[in-house]
Amino acid sequence: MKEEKPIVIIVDDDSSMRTMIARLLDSVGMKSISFSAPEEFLHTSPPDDPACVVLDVQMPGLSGLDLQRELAKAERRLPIIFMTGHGDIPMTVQAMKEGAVAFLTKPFRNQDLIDAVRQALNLDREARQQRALLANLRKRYESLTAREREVFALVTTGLLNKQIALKLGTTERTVKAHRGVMVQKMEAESVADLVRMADKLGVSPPQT
Amino acid sequence: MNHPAKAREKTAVSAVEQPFRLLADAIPEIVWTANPLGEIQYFNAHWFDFTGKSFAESRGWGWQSALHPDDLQIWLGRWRRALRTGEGCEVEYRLKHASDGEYRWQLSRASPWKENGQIVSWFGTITDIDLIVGRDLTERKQEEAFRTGQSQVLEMIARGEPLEMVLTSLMLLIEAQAEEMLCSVLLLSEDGAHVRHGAAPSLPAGYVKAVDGAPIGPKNGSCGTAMYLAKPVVVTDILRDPLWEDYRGLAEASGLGACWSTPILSGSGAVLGSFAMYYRHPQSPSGSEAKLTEVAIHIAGIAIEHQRWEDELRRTQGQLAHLTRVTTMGELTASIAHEVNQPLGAIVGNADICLDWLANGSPDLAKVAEALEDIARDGHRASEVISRIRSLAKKQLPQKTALDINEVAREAHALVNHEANMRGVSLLTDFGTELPVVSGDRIQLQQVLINLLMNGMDAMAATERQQRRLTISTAHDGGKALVAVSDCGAGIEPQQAEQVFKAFHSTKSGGMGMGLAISRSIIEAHGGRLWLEPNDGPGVTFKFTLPGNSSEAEP
Repeated sequence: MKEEKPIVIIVDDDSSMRTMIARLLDSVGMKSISFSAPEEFLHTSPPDDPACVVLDVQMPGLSGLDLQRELAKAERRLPIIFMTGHGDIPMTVQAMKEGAVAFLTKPFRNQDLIDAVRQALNLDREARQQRALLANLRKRYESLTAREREVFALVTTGLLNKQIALKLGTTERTVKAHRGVMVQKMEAESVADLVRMADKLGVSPPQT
Repeated sequence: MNHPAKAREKTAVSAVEQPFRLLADAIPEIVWTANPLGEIQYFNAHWFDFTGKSFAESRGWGWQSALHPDDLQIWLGRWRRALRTGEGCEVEYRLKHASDGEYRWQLSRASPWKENGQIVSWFGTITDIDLIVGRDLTERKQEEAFRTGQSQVLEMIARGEPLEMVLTSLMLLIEAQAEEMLCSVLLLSEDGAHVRHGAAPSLPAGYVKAVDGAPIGPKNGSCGTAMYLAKPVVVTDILRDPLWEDYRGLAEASGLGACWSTPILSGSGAVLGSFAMYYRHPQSPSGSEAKLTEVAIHIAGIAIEHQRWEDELRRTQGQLAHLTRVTTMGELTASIAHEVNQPLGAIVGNADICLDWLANGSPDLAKVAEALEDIARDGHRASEVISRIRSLAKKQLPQKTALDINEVAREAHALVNHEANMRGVSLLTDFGTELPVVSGDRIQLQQVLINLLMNGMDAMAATERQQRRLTISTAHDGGKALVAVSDCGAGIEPQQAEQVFKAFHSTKSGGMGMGLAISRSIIEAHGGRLWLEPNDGPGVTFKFTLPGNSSEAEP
């Protein structure tokens, strides 16, 4: 596995703040990239490595909250640390609801920003791992035949082979054969394992 | 063609019949004829005898040099009008007599000779009336000139010309009415205890300067005493009068012998200043000066009172402008705080980084220096914001200086830029080049712009975020500078277009309704105009013009 290089994305219309934050991150060995407007950042391709956004709430054009929404829409969920000139409680609540990691009031303590950035990068790392696992799981699920998927769905509701055969209008033997192949393809070790997978995949049993 | 009378050869005009000429020469008046264009073609003998001029010198329009220069324009005006309208005219003017070079009063008449409604020729007579009316007429003309002079001074007052200019013109006018008389006006200071220079175009400069600021009192020369007593003070001999004890040396050095002073009173009877007539030598009033004094104190009183009202108005307007300015700044507080906070945030952050570097031993000094430079720059930035705001908050009388209107617009832009960001408004600029320099008060003009910009933002509160565009533009408009603030808001109904400029008219819940009224009064005080126009698209544009500084604007 290649070595990961976390990156912090700074979005602030104030060049002094951008320079200062970049300098601060550099001093603790973190890479960063700066943008003066949310639109600029939206036009770049998403990073491959763990990343987070340090974002000023009040900017001309697209606001910080707007950017947060745009990212969500584009399926580019990234942890965001908000900065604001003055703590506005409704704004804070809204940002936190939509997944902000932290809300810092300028001027903030440098350590607070570093802590928030570390936390955000960890969150993104975890999220990336989760997304990778899910993608893998989905690939396995997609390799199942239609009948195997039906068996998968019914197994995870806790039915026995006999009951499944009855539901599918087939023999217990056939179900058993499908089940064997399915478990192998899904790389499951137990029924409980299959149940967790179904939950993650959002698979529900066919309606009778 | 063939005239035997050699002595009259210069009068020879073929068009004029012999009997007519004989008759004309027999009349004891000057007789002339002119063609329909007004070119004189014939004078009788009396013209040449009176003026001493030849026919060649006098023919056509050449006769003008014989008239008194003060009267020539009047005659030319009437004569040209007569030529235009075809109606006769009659004017009294002075003609120079060849024998002694003196001017004598004449009555000049011109009548048209028409055939079939067309003018064929003009006939004129010039009758010597000097013996009958000469002296009387001279006096009448002088009085007329004096009255014209008075109305000119009154017009200056009405036009709002500076008090010193008005009073100087008045003094020169009064001085022209009498021999060897020098005039001055002194003003009573605001504390009511000192005299201030008003106007004294003919008094020695050293004397004028020494008197300025002297106290008033019961023994303070003619003027200081007249103001103190609110009564006329006539000093016929400065060198002997006890009232002048303290100023005798000064008066002697300035060559002043007599000074008669009369207080100038306001409509309500308060002392405003004094008017004085000075003479080089001791002199007593003859009685004829009373009328001049009356005119002088009457007009000077009007001028001084007018100036005081104007000052008062200016002060009040200044206070009101300051008040509305401070109110507007209150609305800007949040964005101003943000604007100061931004560099402060960077300063604190950079300082912390430096401290960390230093605490960790052997820091990279180049990096430290870089961070410190940033700190210094941000410190200056914060203080610039503060000083911009402080100059707006300052309470002072308007001061006119030569201004680049783009500079004023840029400053106003900087002051509201953050507010615009916070309200999601894009603030755009479109500045013209080579605009005329305007003369104005920087703070007040900034105030007008800030007010228009804030109004524009308010008007777009309900507008889609992407469409909230506010544009400041400047341009050249004839010799004037044109500034426009254009929004994309809800717009203003045409019937409301003038209402919005009225005081206490407000469409906003929190508004005082003074902003636009004050803005208009500020622009008008700068000799400009402020109005609004609906946009082709949504919203309105507020525009104002300011006259160029250097010269009278060419249209």
